[in-house]
Amino acid sequence: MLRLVSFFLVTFAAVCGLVPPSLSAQDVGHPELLRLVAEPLPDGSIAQSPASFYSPDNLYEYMDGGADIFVLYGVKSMLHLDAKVRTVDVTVDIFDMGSPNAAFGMYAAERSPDYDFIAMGAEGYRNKGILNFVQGRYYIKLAGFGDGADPVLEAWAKALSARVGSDTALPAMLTRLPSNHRKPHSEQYIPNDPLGHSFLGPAYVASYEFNGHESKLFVTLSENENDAHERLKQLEAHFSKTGECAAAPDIGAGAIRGKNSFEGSFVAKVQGHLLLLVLNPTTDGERILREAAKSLH
Amino acid sequence: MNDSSRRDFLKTCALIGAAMKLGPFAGQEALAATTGPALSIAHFRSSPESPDAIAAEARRLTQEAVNGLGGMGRFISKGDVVWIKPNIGWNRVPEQAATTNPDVVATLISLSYQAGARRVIVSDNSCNPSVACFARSGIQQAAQKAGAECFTMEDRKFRKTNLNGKALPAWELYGDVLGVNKFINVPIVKHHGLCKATLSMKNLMGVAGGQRNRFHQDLTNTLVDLATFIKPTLVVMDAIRVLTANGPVGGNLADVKRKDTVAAGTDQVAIDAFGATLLGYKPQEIGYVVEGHARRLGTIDFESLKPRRIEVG
Amino acid sequence: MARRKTSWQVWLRRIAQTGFSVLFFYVFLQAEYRPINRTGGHVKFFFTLDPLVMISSWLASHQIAAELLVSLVILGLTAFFGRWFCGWMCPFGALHHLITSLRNRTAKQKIATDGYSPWQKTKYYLLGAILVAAVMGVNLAGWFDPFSFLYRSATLVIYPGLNDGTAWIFGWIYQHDPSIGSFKVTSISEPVYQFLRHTVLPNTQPYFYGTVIIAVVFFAVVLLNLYRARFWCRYICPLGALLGVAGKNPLVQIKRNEDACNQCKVCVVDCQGGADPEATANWKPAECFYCWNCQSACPHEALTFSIRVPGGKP
Repeated sequence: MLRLVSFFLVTFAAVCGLVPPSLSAQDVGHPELLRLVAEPLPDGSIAQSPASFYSPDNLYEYMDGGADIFVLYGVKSMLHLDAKVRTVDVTVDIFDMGSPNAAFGMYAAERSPDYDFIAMGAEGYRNKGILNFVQGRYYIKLAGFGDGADPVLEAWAKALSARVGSDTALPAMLTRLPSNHRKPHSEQYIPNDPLGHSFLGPAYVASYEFNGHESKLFVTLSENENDAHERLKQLEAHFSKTGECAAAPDIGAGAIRGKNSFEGSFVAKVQGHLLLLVLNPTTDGERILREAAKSLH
Repeated sequence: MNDSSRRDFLKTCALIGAAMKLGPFAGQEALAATTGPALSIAHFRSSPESPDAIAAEARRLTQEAVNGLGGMGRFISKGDVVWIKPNIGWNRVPEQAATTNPDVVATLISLSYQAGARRVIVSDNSCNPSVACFARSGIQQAAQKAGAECFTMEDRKFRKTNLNGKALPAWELYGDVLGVNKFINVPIVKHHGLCKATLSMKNLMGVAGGQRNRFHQDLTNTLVDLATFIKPTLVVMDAIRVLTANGPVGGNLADVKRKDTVAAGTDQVAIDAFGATLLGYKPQEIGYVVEGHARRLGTIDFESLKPRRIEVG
Repeated sequence: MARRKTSWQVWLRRIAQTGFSVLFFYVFLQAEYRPINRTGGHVKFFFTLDPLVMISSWLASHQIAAELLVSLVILGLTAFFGRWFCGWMCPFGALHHLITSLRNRTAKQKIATDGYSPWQKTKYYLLGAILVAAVMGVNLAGWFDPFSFLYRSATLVIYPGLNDGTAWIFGWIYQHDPSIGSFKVTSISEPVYQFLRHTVLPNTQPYFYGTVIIAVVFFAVVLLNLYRARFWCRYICPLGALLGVAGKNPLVQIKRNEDACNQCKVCVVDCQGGADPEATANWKPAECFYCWNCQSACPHEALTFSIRVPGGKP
């Protein structure tokens, strides 16, 4: 009997030891994320299970096809927590994007100018049952189900924002983009291949609307002035090959102007270590370029 | 062949790697091609707001769309075991248009039983945690109320199956699906961050297990491989609410638009081409639709099928 | 010596142990995530009975959650009647009792190893250490409290292990689809597994890091019963120690008929607590679990438990 029992227990222990911990397991290796959801939870919420963590490699287990874009924007890790308060079920997803730029970029990728924006963190928006906001290097998405979900989400957002603590400002570069005729909440940060061109990334992008006509400003961050000029040359080469491109001294020294059939027309110039490009400019587009050059000097 | 020996035959083929060019439900093709239209599109003239009115709209549109093809009796016969595969992928409510409308699913279940089905099974391999998805989407409750078996999938039941595809030589598919006679694919039309749109062929991913993120390396060919193997008996496309941005996960009601349409068809490529237009895309913009047409799985020119258009409401 | 029929008190005790163990696992299952997020309301039930939890939380945080006061009832009952809790209610104790009784040992071996040992005082020192730590603000009770230990092991190791093992077995049957003649095994195994899925198996199984060490410690503690009977209960359990202190002088005491007793020591063979039932004057009430094994085993029916009037002779 002793032998039988011992054998059974040892085998059992071996099986348990061999059970691979699923990658979405509780992990003490994310102290900063865990701190954000430390007890007590906001509004008296009760966690339904321990928080789970995901890395870029297994984020798809939680979000399947929705994960790719987060990985593209450089997500470092993600915390997922289900909680309950009164009749409301709350889903908390906190993405550590690694940097404020990446967090803003991811946040902006999912927002649309016509959303209902609120002052939360650096910026946020809400709709029935959801509240998303960005602050520091975190992109936080809250979902609530049940009666009275929206006030609960607001309480959660405020608490999380306070716990994140750090700066509640959007990336500084955004304030330096020309503001005249800029479409509010249209700014984006694209780390890879804006317009499909690697030489244009990473870049801040903003939309401008004038007389019913929309233009886009791209501010590409280069390493230094040489790199910026190099990228300008690549831009020139691309448009020369696919359409037309010529120097535009009337806009400024070294500026170029061009167009092709599928991307449209553009004007561009270098300013310091930045490459400025306006897609589909009108006369106003050239003004945008000049203003950008001035404010980003 | 009786049911169980047919099942054995299929399983044996799958397991020992016989060159199965046709999917488990093939044979219906011949039937579908001769006895009725290949595509029907039912549209509701108004966009009612109340939940009850939307539910009634969903039921009506589903019925009209299926009737437009000749009725469910064309696809389901007495004694059939039917698998209905909606999108139950996400922990979202129906209003968020991330999952199939539950009333569309319920109506298809009733129609199947009316046509003589012996068993109707409703399931999906969810992306978000499945227990939450099945409940939150309203599909489990609606399906069980309509008398179908609706339970979350189990990891232990995925079977390595030979697909002989271009990108997928073999993959784990859900064992229970391989054992039924009839398969009805019921997707919802959504924007997709990776492949522009998720329509009916993408919806078939819910039959697959394993590490599905590998599909994303060559989504175009993978989806067509899958669609070629699993040729559904019928596709019913839910476009009552469509997700126009931030798909496939969604969540923001501002991204949801009403299209008040349900389409039904036997040509996967054509119905996906039609679905793409509802999101404002040209069918040629969707990689797997173009590939499906190239491989003659169906036609990208859905108008050439002379779809039945039905206006109701 | 002829084996006696088991006494009705022992049967009653076994029923109680089984009942509370089943109740513990029922309550455990209630804690599982349900789709409409309604957690079972009685998860805390066992912990509210636990005076160790109450006292150490109070010492560490100077606060008591009102519901923990229920544990005072247990403490009070123990003070009056003795450590019946350990013998009849504690599910962890029941587990140790079960493993202990499965040992393959002769009566002679058991008498040699399972009598009272002075090492049983270790648990009192451990209790002392926990209380001192609590006063200094560090609550260690959660590591050594029997409910916490069992709950933690069940959550992290036993339940996932059982779930995986069961899924593996039924998965194997599903995948290989064996038949006996024309009878398919799956026609029985699938309904059985679905029944288990809808009752005791979890819908979603979270996995945890650190399970290996929890598993090792759990099985070590359980296997220690092969060395000494109810090892944890006698030598380690701080809750048992607390109840032992409370139950030092209970009203219900062992009573031996001196004339009938021939010092055969059969009563010691299956004594769970190591309380020395064969020596009435030396009987250790603080170690006695009131399991009634001694009374049941005695071939001369010389032992019983009865209410002692305070101050009077046994």
